[in-house]
Amino acid sequence: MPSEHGLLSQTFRIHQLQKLGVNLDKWDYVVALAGNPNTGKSTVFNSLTGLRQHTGNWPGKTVNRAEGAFSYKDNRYKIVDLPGTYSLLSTSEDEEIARNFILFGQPDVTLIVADATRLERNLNLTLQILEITPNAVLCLNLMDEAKRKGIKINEKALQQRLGIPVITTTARYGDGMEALLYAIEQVATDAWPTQQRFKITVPEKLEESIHALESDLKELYPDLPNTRWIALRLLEGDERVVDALKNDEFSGLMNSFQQPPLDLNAELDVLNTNEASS
Amino acid sequence: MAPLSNLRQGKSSVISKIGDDISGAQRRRLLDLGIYPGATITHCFNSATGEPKAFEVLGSVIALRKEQTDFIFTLED
Ligand SMILES: Nc1nc2c(ncn2[C@@H]2O[C@H](COP(=O)(O)OP(=O)(O)OP(=O)(O)O)[C@@H](O)[C@H]2O)c(=O)[nH]1
Ligand SMILES: [Mg+2]
Repeated sequence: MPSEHGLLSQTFRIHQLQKLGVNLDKWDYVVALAGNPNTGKSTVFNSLTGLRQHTGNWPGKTVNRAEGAFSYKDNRYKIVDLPGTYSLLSTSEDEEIARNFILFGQPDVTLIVADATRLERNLNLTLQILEITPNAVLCLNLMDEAKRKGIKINEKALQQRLGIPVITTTARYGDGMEALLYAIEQVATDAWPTQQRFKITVPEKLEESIHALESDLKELYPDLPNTRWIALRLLEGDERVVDALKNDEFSGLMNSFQQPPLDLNAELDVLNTNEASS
Repeated sequence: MAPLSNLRQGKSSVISKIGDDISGAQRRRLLDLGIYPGATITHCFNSATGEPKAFEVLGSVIALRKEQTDFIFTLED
């Protein structure tokens, strides 16, 4: 069966969007695709890059990070598709791949793809992400399903409360992609007036401990971002994060994102085979 | 109040409390999955061996083990 997305992503065209596939030699901005499982992240990725990351319930589940590229107006973007996760407190290997990139991959824009029919569930991860970065866009996807179920969303109110652009889309049919690109551009180029909104205030004592741990971490790993998040996990006794520190995993982490993900070559092979046979 | 493990298949109820026996990372994980007081939960089906059981909460189906459902409480159905 030919992939429905292969067809759709070829017919879908936006003025000033160039799908660059795996053409990843240089870019101006990095976009990370975050969200709960099965919300359409890979579908958005395919629409923008022209690639054919597997989509669907099963076996379409994304288990590793995949990278692609597109250009929009004057800028080139690297976009990173990630496995779905309900939380940044990951419990499985694929969730950890997602959370590591969101926390330590230093994306310029985190594009949160949410299921508009399960907004409450999806806002949990959204708020966790906004605690670590205000440079995000919320994409309310599956709007066709939401409409069918009679769900109405006041996206203006949501946008005001969250402080980030909120865009409604039906990625399967390419609806809303142009508005989404515009929002990505706004946040990437700092044209959007972002501000850190979701800093949770903690008791002074705890704040002191966080600071102490943070300065230790910064001494060990001068370039490591989100040390506050790590400090909080250490204070909670998060075993996975304690282990990561013990095993010095944070030192290799930043560099690992400069290397292409493992399955990129497989992706290239698929493209080459397709080209050769057509 | 009744433990979630008593909720019959096909029935829904509202979560009233997560017991103190579930703490730390485990408790946080449940909250992240949408198990929190006030959320409506439905017992959908059981796996072949009876455990874990599948529940729908906030529009998604999740699997919970008896060690969890014994300590999650719901209003009577
Ligand atoms: N009706 C509808 N279906 C969509 C839409 N966007 C994506 N889908 C479908 O939803 C399913 C999941 O899409 P994916 O793109 O694989 O979702 P994902 O977020 O990458 O999933 P994971 O990688 O498992 O987290 C696929 O069958 C898509 O065709 C949409 O806007 N409307
Ligand atoms: Mg995917």
